[in-house]
Amino acid sequence: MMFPIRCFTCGALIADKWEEYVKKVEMGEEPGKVLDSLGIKRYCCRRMFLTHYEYYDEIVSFHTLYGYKEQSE
Amino acid sequence: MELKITVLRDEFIEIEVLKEDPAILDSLAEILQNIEGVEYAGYMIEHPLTMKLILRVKTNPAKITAREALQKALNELLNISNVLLEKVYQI
Amino acid sequence: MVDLKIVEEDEKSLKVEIRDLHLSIANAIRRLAISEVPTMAVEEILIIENTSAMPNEVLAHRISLIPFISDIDRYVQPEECTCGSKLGCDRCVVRYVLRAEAKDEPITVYSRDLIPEDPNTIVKPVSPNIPIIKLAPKQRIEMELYVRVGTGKKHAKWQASIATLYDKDGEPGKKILFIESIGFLPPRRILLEAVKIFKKKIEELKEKIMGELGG
Repeated sequence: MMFPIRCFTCGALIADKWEEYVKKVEMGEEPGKVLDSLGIKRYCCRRMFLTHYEYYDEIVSFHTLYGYKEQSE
Repeated sequence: MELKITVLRDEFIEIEVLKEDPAILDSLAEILQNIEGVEYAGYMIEHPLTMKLILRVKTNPAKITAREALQKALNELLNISNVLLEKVYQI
Repeated sequence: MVDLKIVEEDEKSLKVEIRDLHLSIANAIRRLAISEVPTMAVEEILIIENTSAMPNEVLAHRISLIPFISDIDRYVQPEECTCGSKLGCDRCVVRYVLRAEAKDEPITVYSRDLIPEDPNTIVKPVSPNIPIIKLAPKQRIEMELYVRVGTGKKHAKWQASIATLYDKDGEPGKKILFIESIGFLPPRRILLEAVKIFKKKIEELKEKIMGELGG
């Protein structure tokens, strides 16, 4: 699925920092240091980022290729 | 909050409280425990799903009745919360 | 008697040093700061169209978790409101509309794409950058959102803050109450509301016990 809006354990808002995190990690920065710079302190929130896989992107690319066809009446 | 007194004697009071945060009764129990003549004050959660709380107070009637102890504790708790609110406004 | 002092503060969190206060009362304040301070989040969603790959209930759940900057002076909880209407009135509901469609490229819908019915409302998502859903070409969503006041006791989406209470290192008798706001309200306001609720609850408890005892 998509990245969760809140941390499962403490309930803090985390989704607003996800795209910045991905951008920085893809540029080659160390994930742990990126999380420090984003101000994600607790380990419950940190594992949300570190262990997430954006599975929904695959669904979207599937639908982009083979998806919606205009249904005829 | 729904409240019912189930046992009322000189030296012992039992109160059932529904739909309330247990931390409120915890505060009351701690204040009661510090009152001279109170032998036991405590609360229990009968079942976590029903959240029925039972508060029990046992005193030494020669020193203080349970009713007096409860009244004293409630007044003290209200005083503390008034002072606390004032302090929070100040900071 | 009680002594409070702020030791650390920023726009998101607050550390208060507490002295000469019963542990149980400090703990009650902590619990109330989490579960009883009123905040605002999406409570009802009317889905008009959803051709995305995400099921309605998952999408609705994601949207409901978005924190909204809460105007708790103006808005009241629906059960406390005098209107008695299920749809709500201007004192208990803020309406939003979410409309998005991907044309030829996949798009991401963010919390900034939520459009309020009243453009002057201060009740808006805490952050504009929350990704809600991704849409593949030709997929479309259209929905109406009803933002209401609630408490963390009712549903965790309304949880106002993350609060902890612990002993201060090396200084016996001093406690630290740490309050981190999720974004609904400033941390100072959460502390104030929690103490106000505590006082209100004690008053109610006293009144009811005295009433039952008969004097």
